Amino acid sequence: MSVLAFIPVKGFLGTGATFGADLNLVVQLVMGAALIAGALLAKKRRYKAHGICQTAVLLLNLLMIGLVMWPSFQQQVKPALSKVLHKWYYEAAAIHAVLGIAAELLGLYIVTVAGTNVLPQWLRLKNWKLWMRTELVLWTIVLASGVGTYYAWYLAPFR
Amino acid sequence: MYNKVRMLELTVYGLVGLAAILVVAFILRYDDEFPSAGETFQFNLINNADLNDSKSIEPGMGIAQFRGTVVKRESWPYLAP
Repeated sequence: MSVLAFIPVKGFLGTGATFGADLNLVVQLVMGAALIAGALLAKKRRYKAHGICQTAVLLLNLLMIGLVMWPSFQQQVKPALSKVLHKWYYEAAAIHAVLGIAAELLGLYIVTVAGTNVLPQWLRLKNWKLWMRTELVLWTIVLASGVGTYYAWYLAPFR
Repeated sequence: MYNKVRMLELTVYGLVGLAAILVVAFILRYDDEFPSAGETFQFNLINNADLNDSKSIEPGMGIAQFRGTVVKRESWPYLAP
């Protein structure tokens, strides 16, 4: 029995989405705002706070991928991927999944290089700023594609 | 200047904290619905419906192996008046 079982199954954004999908959307938008604010911290030379913020968001997102997005993808997209990829419902999710995996892996790589010494010298980044900015841009695109997926799944079918 | 940076720092921590609280709320709400390791999704039965076809049982035909049981039940002695 879940602790917060009193929370309704239906979403709270007034769309056809489930509570989980709505909550995930809000979490992703909050995390996107935190990432942008975290990038500003680096500009102000607050590197420790910047590192804590970006790493926390990355790990929280990893949790949300494991709990929400990957199970949804496995249940609703993967079985039909080879047959009906031309449909927007599947296309949006597939594009979001590919970009999202790339962004998450690049983020994990940057955090590993920046926060630990486990990687050998030849695998470590040289141009920090370029890679971190690339990651922020990629993350923004992924966030936009995620909103697009939400639209294709829960809003477009009812219009 | 220092106050502005401090405000930005607090805003960032606030946003990360809010995201963390929402994630924890999600986990607490759905903890009994997450499939455990190795468990297959129930949706697989629907997704692979063509693989799950079983021989249909016609109503009224009866299955031979159960017929005897039914007859036996009808003739239980202690059910008789």
